[in-house]
Amino acid sequence: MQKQRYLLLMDETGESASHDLRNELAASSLPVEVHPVTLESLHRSELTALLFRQWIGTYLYLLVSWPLLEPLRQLAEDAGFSEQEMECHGLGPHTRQVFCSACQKMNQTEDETVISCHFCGEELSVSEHYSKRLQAFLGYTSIR
Amino acid sequence: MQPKIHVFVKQIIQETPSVKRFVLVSKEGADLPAFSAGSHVTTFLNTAAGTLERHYSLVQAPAITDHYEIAVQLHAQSQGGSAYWHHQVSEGTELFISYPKNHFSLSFRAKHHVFYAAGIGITPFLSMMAELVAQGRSFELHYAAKSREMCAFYETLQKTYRDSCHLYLSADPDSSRMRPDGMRQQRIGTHVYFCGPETMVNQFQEAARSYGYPQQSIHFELFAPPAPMLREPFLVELWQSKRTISVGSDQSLLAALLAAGIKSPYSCRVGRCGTCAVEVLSGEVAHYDSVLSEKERAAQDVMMTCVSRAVHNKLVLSL
Amino acid sequence: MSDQLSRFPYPFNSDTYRYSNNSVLLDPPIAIEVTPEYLEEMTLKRSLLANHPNRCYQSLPHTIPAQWEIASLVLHHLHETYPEDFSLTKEGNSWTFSNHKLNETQQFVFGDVSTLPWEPLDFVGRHVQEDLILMGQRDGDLFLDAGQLCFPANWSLEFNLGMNFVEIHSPIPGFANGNLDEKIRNFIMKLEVGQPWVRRNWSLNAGKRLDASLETFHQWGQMRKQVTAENAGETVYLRVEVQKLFRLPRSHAVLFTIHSYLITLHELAQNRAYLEQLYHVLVELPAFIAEYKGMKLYKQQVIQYLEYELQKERG
Repeated sequence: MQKQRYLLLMDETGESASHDLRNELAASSLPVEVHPVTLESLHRSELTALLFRQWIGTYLYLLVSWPLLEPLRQLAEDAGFSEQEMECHGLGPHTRQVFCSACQKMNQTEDETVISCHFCGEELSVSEHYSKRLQAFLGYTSIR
Repeated sequence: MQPKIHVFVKQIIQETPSVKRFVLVSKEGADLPAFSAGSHVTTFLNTAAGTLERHYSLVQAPAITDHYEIAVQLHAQSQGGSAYWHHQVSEGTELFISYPKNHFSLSFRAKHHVFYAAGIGITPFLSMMAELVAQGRSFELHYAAKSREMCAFYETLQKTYRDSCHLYLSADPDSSRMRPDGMRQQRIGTHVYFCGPETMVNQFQEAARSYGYPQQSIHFELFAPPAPMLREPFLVELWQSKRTISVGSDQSLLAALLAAGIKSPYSCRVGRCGTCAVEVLSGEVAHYDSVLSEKERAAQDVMMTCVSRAVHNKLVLSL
Repeated sequence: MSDQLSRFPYPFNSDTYRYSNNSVLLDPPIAIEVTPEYLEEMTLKRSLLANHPNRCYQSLPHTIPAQWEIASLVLHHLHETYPEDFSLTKEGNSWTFSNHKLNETQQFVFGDVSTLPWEPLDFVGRHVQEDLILMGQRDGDLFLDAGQLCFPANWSLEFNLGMNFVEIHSPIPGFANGNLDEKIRNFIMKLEVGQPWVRRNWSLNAGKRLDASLETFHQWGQMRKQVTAENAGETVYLRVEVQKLFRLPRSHAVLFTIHSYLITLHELAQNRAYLEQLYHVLVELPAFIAEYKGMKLYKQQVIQYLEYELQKERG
């Protein structure tokens, strides 16, 4: 697809990491619009209106800290952006959610491969099987 | 191979001088199978030249299942299909049709649907628009025809979809021409759909891509009659087995391989599951399967042994 | 040969087993099958649905129209195939379904969820032994949109809900080789109304348990450690899923039914040809497939047991 313009949404973390990307986009000679976002702005109508009024041919970059990424991505998808029309970059500290297969509650981990479920105590091996709907990795139980 | 439905023609309506609409009803008087918007049926026509298979879109709303309606344009260069429909079919004529099939469905996630139709290409959009109205979703139609008289479904469109319908009449000097650049100013999440002659479809597809539509937001349907299956005998050289076997005209390649004791894989035997795929080293393949994409077919390096054959008289397989 | 063995859907057609699209056209085109285990399995299923509703039933909000199509298809198949056991009468949209095996009658308005005590898929699943899965087909992909799953072979409906076909199968080692996962997905996406397909899937289970859910693996999985060559005949089961695929006409979605069958190795061994073939399949089975099918801890014990049975017959 031929891009017509760029829209870049970033928070404070994203801003400090955006230098190279902004140079690249500026060199493209296509119009570039940059907007700051915060967790709080997610709930305000200006951001929704901004996304919903975009034309076809707009390519969206999200450059935000991890907690903001998924809600922002979902809002963009609701506005009509498909995977081919946006790029998502999560920055900063990132914890993985692990779905306990035994009790269905969510645990957090940075990078462990084996954890203990905080709710039911089962030992879980953290797999690479990921659910976009639940935003979590599957934690398998094992037989002792 | 495919299951068929026995129907008869209940009514024929002359839509335009060259387009007839046929109302088909089940011979057993039962309801016909439901269908999804954009579906078509294959009609099996008993002509003097043998059975012809021709595809036609179902033009009524999907909620209606006591009859089917198709519209056939008489082509000047008819290879028999449209001529048969126009000159040999009358009210009461019986025939067999396939179950509805859908190769042109509405996008689920599209925020807005824009349809571009040229001539008889209007047909798949009729069931689609009815469905979108029922679901309360937004769309617009752009339809190019020669003139009002030659514009099939003109009344239906004016009555039911007036506000969403833009007509372009090429023989009318006061009417504008249907052009792709209307696709530029559409909201993000718009999907575009094309149906008409191949040149029109290609032109609009290219334009859509250049305006920034991702490939998955571009949909089109081209009606091409299926290629008749050539049943000539041919030879097959098996590279690894160092053998050559012959395939009879009424024998599938798979049957010939198995009869010769070659352990060639298979499952469905009707060209659908893909299990019987073998590597082709040389020779031109006549593909009759429903597995490979156009690109894969053109690469000529794989074939389904259960249904596909040789175009000429020899193939070399890696088996 | 016992009645159970003669009815058993034997899954192998060769001495070696690899992942493939082993689907064939389904004839007759019936989605469900009532077997002598009906009462036992329906009781178990309903108790699981009552005690573990979120594990056994999940659906995305937009699936109601497709669920009605499934309900219609299944109820018609029950009535037309087993008319003495299931009746279905319709007066316009007012439907009455009677299950004479369970002595239950349900009246409802077709298309109106408020007239049923459960969603249409959840309702109809309570009358058949099959697990019922709804795959939505949209925007060029296939998604797990809804399902009633009481007898899973170690997977979680709740976790997988909403995933696409490739994502669902990503944990299976080797399944994506040669793009088999995409090829099978593409095959399913080309399914047509009026032409359903069927395939058989198999695994070995330690212990008899239809509801081998991922959620309770740490409980029933323990049996794998208790298999010996001596007890394998009675403790290890061949588990076969007969899977049927139907295109739903109006929603363009796909109904995937799974009927699970279990038979002990001892019972299966009564058929010499089955015994020999299962033995060859297991001996030759690559480790990555054996592991995924859950038999890593006791495959050797099973092979020893089968060897014993083979020699016994010869002797």
